[in-house]
Amino acid sequence: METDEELVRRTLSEGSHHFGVLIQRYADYLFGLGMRLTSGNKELAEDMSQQAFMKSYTYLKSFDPQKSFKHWLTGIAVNSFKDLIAKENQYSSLEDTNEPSYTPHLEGNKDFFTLIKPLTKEERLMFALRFIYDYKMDEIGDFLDMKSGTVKSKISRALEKLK
Amino acid sequence: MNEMEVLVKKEKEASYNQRNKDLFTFYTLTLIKQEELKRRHRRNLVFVGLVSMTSALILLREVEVITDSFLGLILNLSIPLLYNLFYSYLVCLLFAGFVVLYKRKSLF
Repeated sequence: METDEELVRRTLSEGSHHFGVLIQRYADYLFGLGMRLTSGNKELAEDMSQQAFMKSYTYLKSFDPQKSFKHWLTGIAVNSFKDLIAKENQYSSLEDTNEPSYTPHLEGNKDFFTLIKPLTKEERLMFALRFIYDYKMDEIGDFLDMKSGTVKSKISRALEKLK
Repeated sequence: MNEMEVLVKKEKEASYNQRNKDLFTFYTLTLIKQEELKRRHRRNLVFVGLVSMTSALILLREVEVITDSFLGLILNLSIPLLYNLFYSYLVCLLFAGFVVLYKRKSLF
């Protein structure tokens, strides 16, 4: 089996069809991350993972083969999620209140999603990365372009909310 | 272990599967190719634009020379012709005047 780094190298030198193997390999992982970040919104999770793959292909040249592809992809997915939230907020401000609102079809571990419901989207993101994916504070800080101290205080505030 | 830890542990063990992974891969690759083509097309347009602007600038520098020589050619050809035409017209006018005067004298 080819390594991720090898597939990235071949994608850059031979074409996008090699990237398909990487998509197959990480589709479930990114979909799972999307489900956790969107609290089980399947459509949004799919959109997020698709955007993450497209962005990662665009910026593939900037990937450092010394680092893990999965880690790099997670960073891109987190940013795609932030973009989706920004877009959602933009549209919700324009939404006509008389129009029937769209209710997303939620799936997955409902108990967990109910647990994190009181958190803001940013807190949910940090909570999932810290406690589900076991990322360190400085890694989360790197993903979100924040200092690890800020991440730490935001996570402890989120934990306070959940108590 | 409190309730939160139990739920987090349960969620950690949960697995999510992207539905129809082959179709998802195919569709994502198609979108990637489409984006790639769009970027290439844009790059080509910029290239064509730059080339045409550069050639236009080079040609514009020469435009004065071209018009000068073109207009010069026209003037060189036309001025003697115009002079001849004008001179002939004057002669004709003079002749016509004489004819009219002569006819008047003969009439009255």
